[in-house]
Amino acid sequence: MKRIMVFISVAALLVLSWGCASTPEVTYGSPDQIETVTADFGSTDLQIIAEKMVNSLLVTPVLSSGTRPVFYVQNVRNKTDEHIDTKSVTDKIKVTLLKSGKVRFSAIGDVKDEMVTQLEFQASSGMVDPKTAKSIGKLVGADYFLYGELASIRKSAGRVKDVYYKFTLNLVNIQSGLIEWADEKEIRKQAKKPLLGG
Amino acid sequence: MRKIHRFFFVLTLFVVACAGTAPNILNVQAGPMGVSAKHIEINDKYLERNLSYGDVSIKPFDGATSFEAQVMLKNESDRDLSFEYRFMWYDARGYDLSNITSWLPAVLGAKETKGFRSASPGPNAAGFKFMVRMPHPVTSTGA
Repeated sequence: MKRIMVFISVAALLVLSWGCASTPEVTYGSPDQIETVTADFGSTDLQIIAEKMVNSLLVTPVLSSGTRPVFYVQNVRNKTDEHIDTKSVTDKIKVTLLKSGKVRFSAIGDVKDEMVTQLEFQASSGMVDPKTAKSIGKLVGADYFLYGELASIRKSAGRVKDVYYKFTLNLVNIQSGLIEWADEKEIRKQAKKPLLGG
Repeated sequence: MRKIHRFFFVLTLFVVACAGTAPNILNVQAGPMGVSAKHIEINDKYLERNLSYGDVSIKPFDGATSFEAQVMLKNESDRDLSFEYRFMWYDARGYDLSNITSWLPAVLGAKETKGFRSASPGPNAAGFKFMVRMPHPVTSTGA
């Protein structure tokens, strides 16, 4: 009995000293792991949305026609009450679609000013060899653009917090103005505070 | 004395239950024409008992050069079951083609059956792995 008491005391001491450590333990983790640190929008939500949108887009006739249409990404409006970088969501979708080789993306939406400046510099500064200078008026026009929004409904009662996210993405044909494809992904997350602490 | 033994037994069970186990893996060799071979690798007996693999369906697209796969999963238990899953695509030489390899969370209600889909990332896909594992997420460190 005495040995058991000693064992329990040592175990309790270890747990207490562990809990009182002032330096946080830092480790590297896999970005593939699911993150549930808080109920706020996180890396796993971004991956869930990107996975769903990419899978849905890849099988649309627009992408599977073999013509490699040109897209550009317009903003995804953040209608939640959180600060969320929606561009990181669309960037993930863009990169994955580009890697599929079935679509091309125009950079105009992201770096229009830089492109105009560079084209003007090459055409008129006199510093660039005319044989290699890129001429104005040769940019490829986009066929489609992506736009969407991220909305949320947040509720909490007592120790329970419930967050619902809805991400909607649309693909618009620039020539016709028609929405050729749209899909949405819903995510529900719940957080429950522990009875003690928290 | 017996109570203390019971406590340590429960503690051991808890520690074992919380330890991460390797996922159960459905290996599928397939093309736009359908499934040519599949086999299941079981690493987690608890998950095997509670979550069963069903039919694998193939739907060609992109002029029948690519395909979308659907794997049916059934929760065999009488309770909701939370788990994580992911698809990984390979070409004929075994090169990983996947662009998104994240584990994704899922919940199946008691006795619920649901299809999980993924589109092959390119025209060279010769098969995929569909993995399931019990949740072991990154949680708060309190730091």
